[in-house]
Amino acid sequence: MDDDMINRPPIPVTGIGCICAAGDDLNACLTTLYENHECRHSCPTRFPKTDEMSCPVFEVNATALSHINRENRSVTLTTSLALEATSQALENAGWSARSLANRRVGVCVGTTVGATIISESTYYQWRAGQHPDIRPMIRNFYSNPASAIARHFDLTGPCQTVVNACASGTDAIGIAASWIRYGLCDIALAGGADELSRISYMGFMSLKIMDPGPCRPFDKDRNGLNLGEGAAILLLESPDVNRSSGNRPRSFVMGYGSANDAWRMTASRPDGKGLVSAINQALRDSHADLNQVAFVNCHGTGTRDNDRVEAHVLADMLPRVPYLSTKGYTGHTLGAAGAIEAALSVACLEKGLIPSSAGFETPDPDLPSHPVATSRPIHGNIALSQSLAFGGHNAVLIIGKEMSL
Amino acid sequence: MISVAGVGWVSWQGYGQGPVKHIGDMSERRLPDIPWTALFDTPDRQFGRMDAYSRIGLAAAVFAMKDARFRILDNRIKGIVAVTQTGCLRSDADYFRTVLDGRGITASPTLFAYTLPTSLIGEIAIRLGITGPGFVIQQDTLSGHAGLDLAVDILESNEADAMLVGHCDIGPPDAIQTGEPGSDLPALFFVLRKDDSLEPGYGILSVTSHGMSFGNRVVSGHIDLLASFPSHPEGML
Repeated sequence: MDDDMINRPPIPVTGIGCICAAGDDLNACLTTLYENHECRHSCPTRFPKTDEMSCPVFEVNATALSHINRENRSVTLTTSLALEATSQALENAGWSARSLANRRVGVCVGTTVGATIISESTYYQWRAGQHPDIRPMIRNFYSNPASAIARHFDLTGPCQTVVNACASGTDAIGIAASWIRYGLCDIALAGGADELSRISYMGFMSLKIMDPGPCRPFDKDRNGLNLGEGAAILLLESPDVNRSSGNRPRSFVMGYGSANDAWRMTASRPDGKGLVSAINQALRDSHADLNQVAFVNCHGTGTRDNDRVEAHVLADMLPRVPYLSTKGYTGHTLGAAGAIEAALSVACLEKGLIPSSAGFETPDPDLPSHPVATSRPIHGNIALSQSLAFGGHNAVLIIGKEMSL
Repeated sequence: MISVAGVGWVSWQGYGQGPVKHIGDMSERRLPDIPWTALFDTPDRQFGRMDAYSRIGLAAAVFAMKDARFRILDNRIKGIVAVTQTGCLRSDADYFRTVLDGRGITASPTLFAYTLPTSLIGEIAIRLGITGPGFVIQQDTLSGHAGLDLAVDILESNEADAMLVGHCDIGPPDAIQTGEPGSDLPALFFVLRKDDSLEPGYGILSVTSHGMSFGNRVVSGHIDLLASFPSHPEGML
């Protein structure tokens, strides 16, 4: 390894927790992606529909939600999901809360809805000129996801909740990897979490970017996104800790890049300049070259603009690399999306196989490239997982497998 | 080395750039009106239509750039880190009113975009041409130096020559009082720059074993950093 590689080593991922509509843990999600090919969308069941149009959403299954809510009554559902994914990640890596006691453990979690007060009763009372019940607000302040995880597991390392819209989960993992590289912590729990809410449902509806049917990322007839919910947490170990723990890395966070379009608040720059910049920065950060890329897990929301930008950028930069969107299995989970997609990317690298891009059937003749329509073996050691967000933000993670440290 | 090259702020009483000794009467928490002429040479019709959170954050960022003698679209500034506690809670309330009043059908797409705390980063990036990394960090409290740490990390990793870093927080709507005190300076941004020794600005910021230091003093956060400026003889706001 050269000096820069020593200063910026790949960061081992030794545990993963994941819960979303595709499954209550990562293995269940993989069954959905590789065996059932189920897309578990439905009409929203937890908030009243106030519009004639009812767009499908991807909800975490009710039994799992009920259990998670019972376990964590004092915090919001977003934070409950984050706590559940964290528990899974710790168990997957073989760390207990007690065994972390003498370690510097950082927590970095991305969210969007988790940073918003979504208590309708509070707003109704406020609107009616009454003194609103402030308990939901206090509960929300108490539910900062990263702080809640640190509190729950008694962790004392760096702690940040990133609210970078739909790229929050990707950014959180990138930031946590940099903490380890800079020696700020030995272990980091990083990812994202978000719950479904009527606030975001009606907001995306008002922007007219929700598909009234199942979403179809990159398809000729794509008509918008479907919202989802969930959480994923990756447990990252420093190379030194990994050597002593003996945990076999499931993969490595090799690089991260982020860049802004400086263009529009709710639309990506048509030439994808910000995304290109983020990909290039992540490649520089990882010391990887384009020939090593096995696949790209796209943001792939199913909106006409997002998919057009990604298809053009990938056709230019990675013309022979297969890509997919997993949002047809999970819905768009907003602040959790980047983390869930990073978790699924790790699993794809482990399997040497990417699943079909759910919802894609008819190639769009206006797009220069297309996702995989069926499961496909992959060749190469690294995956790109990319997120595009309101505010013009783009973030890219590079995940690799089987590195010798 | 990293220097603090400029500072801009919006208080409950006014706005400006450079060190500030007294920030006025904080008992009346009403944000000042800031005309676009205070920020830009050419009209910006969108500025007045932004939500208050984005508007005052953008204003403080522009004042910080001017204080650092950077042009608007100066390509040395590559990234932004903003810390918030209550984020855009007031905009959430405004947006949600449009949802409730129209049973969802009249939800405002414009207000919806401002329910994301990252709207601040988007508006700053668009106006100032900032094309590098941008982060909004939500914390339990505005004190602490997590934002400064992240900005310094980015500068030291050679991803940027200069960064904007600070906080923006206007608290919850007046009618929804939570007991959270809020910030005396709702928006406060600094320009951090890799020091070229020719223009050291207000002083050198460094990470030491004791934490974040400015000159010889350990600083606990943005307000404390401002209070430590050398032209601030009282050493406090």
